[in-house]
Amino acid sequence: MNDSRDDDELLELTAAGDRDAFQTLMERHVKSMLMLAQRVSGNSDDAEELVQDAFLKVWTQAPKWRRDGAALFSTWLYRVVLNGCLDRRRRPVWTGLDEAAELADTAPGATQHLAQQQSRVMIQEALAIIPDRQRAALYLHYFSEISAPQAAQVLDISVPAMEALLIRGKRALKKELIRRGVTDLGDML
Amino acid sequence: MTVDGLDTLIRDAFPATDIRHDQVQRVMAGVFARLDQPQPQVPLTFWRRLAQLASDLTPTPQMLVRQAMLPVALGLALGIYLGHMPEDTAPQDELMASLSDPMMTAGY
Repeated sequence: MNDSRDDDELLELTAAGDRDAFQTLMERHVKSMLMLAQRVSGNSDDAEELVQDAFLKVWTQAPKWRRDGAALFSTWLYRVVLNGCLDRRRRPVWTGLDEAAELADTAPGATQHLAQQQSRVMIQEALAIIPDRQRAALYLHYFSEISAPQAAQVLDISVPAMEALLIRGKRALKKELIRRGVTDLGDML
Repeated sequence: MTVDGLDTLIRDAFPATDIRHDQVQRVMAGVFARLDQPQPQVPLTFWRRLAQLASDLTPTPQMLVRQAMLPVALGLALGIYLGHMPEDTAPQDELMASLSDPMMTAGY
């Protein structure tokens, strides 16, 4: 069912303890948040927990939300989920390599799947080495569906600063991947 | 910035995944379940009990203001009343008489 109320209205109702409004708000944003969290964490259980934490924060912070504030609710929510992902990624929880080992069977497409898993692990390991801000910019660029201006808002920087951060992040990531033996990544930007 | 090898590598390794309906339901149910969980009770130690007792005995600023309001208002009203009360002054001639009294002028 489509709800014509905007996020700010739903937040006001949520702040007053309206669970239906809160549920509508969750239904509206949960998919995009899960998509980001799942691709960053590489694990659907972690992603679900991260998104739950983010929505619990929405419930507790709703009374403080300013309707006339400059930021969109979705921007703030992306920031909460992204920070949760970054915090969690500081701990070695990515289980992709174990899953990759288990997938070495003879089923059709298994080899391709295995190669994909190994690529993921390698990229995540390389991402873990580069600075947090650059990593955050790359996560938003590759793993979310938001526009560049909104991504800049999530990181609380200007669009040109976001672009510069992305360029530096891509360069650092390429360097790391080349060090790990990956070739054919194009020029060094 | 053009699409280069890095973009292709990442997009191939992390294809956009569909979020299943059961995942969505699980997240929302999990949030509500966590909201309904009773808050963990902090065990009451001696010092915690003492602090609680002290805080119970100490009136809040709002209560202090409420309690002080009546005496302050009464004091203010009394001050205004006394300030406007006619003064009980001595008549002018009596004052002059007293100034010209031989007792007062003694020594001059």
